[in-house]
Amino acid sequence: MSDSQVGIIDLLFQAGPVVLFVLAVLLLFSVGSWAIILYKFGSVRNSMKESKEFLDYFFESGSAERIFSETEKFRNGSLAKVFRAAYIENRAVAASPGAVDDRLRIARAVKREVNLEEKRLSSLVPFLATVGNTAPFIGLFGTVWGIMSAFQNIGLVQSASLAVVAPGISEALVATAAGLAAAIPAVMAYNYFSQQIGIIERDLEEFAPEFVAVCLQNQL
Amino acid sequence: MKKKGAPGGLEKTFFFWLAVAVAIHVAIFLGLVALKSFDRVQKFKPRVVSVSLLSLPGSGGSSEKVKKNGPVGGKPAPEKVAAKPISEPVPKQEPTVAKKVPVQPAKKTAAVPAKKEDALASALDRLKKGVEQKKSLSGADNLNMALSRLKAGSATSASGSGTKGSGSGTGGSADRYKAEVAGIIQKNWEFSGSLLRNTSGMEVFVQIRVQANGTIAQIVFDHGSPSEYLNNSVKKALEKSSPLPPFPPEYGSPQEWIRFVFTPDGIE
Repeated sequence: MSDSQVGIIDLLFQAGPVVLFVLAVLLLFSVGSWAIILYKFGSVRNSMKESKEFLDYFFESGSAERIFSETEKFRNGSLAKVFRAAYIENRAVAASPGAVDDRLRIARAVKREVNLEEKRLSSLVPFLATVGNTAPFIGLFGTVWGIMSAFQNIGLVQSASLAVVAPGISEALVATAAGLAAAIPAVMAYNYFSQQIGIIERDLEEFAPEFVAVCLQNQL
Repeated sequence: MKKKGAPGGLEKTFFFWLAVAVAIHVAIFLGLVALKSFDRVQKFKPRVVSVSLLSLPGSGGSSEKVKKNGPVGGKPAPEKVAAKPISEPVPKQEPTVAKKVPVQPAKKTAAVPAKKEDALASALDRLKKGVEQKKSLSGADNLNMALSRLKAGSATSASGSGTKGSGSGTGGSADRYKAEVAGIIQKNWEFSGSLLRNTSGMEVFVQIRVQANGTIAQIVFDHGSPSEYLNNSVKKALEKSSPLPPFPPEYGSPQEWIRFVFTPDGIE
């Protein structure tokens, strides 16, 4: 086996169409999952940070109006967004009182915003779970297919020496390696984001009633 | 309403990170390629031992053959054997020697035994040179064995007893032919004794039926060894060696049975 035969590019050129297809799918998975990881890492971290800062300000200041004006600084904070929704609904209730209970209307608005925020936070994250679960199997499929082809070639050559067997298996194993390379960061990121989003969701559920209460107090 | 502008911005952010991810992957790929090319520059080439995955040693022991061959040649011999096509140079070159050698000495030896010795010596020299040019380890073993056989053959023919039983020197040429055949088989025999744990009782008694044109028509295992690896290597060597050089003119019969005993030390 010459030196040129062991390079990655040579391995790719020597691989069959099925293995190449598998590698292309895994590459797309990997690129997509890394884009999501980078994007989500920024947005979740900002949301956590600004929510924490907003909560600090919320407990310091008693006036709903002042808090609302401060929420402009925390546009990425999930808690700030929910408070804004509660305050705006409170203003709307005050402007046009209806038959429905004020508290109920504000609570609905808060619930709606919480749902939207949860949806926004957890968007694209399931793709990471999909990549983490399926990429190794896709890679394994490529490997099995590659080894099948390799053994067929060995049968045609009618030689089972290591020099004949090894290159085919080596090419095939690239697919498993690619599958694992795509899956490992995706699984790690999925676990991290799940934990962080869970924390934010618990905060939202916990503080939503407080936001409603503050807004109603302000109305009175 | 306030959300309306947000998705566009998020999309932009996401596409930015997508571009970053693509760039990372390209960078990693280029890095791997560069790493491979860097590795190639500083690559250490270890000794390569050709291993057949089809036949593994049954019972084993230490090998002497590899140790013997090791210091003789700088290059790893098994790699060469594995890389070469099965029956290229060995059978083609040997027959020319085989044809020349028996013709001249056979006539002369019948009349003058001393001249036969000279012819044998010259034939041996030619064989020796040919083998040295190839620098093949197995060839060197073969040469030594051929030498010993030829000496034994000349001794027996000088005393009047030949393999064919004519007593007129044809026995000597027959032995040369057999020695040549043994040499060819030895060259095609890919076997490493280091894969055997135990060499005791590792003998394979084989008979081959050779036709006049050199084709091996039949292989009969009289007694196999406990190691399937040794048995298979012998079988492969015999299959690889066919066709052998055609019979020398002294051979009258259309076919011959030749017996060999394969041991981890070589062919007897």
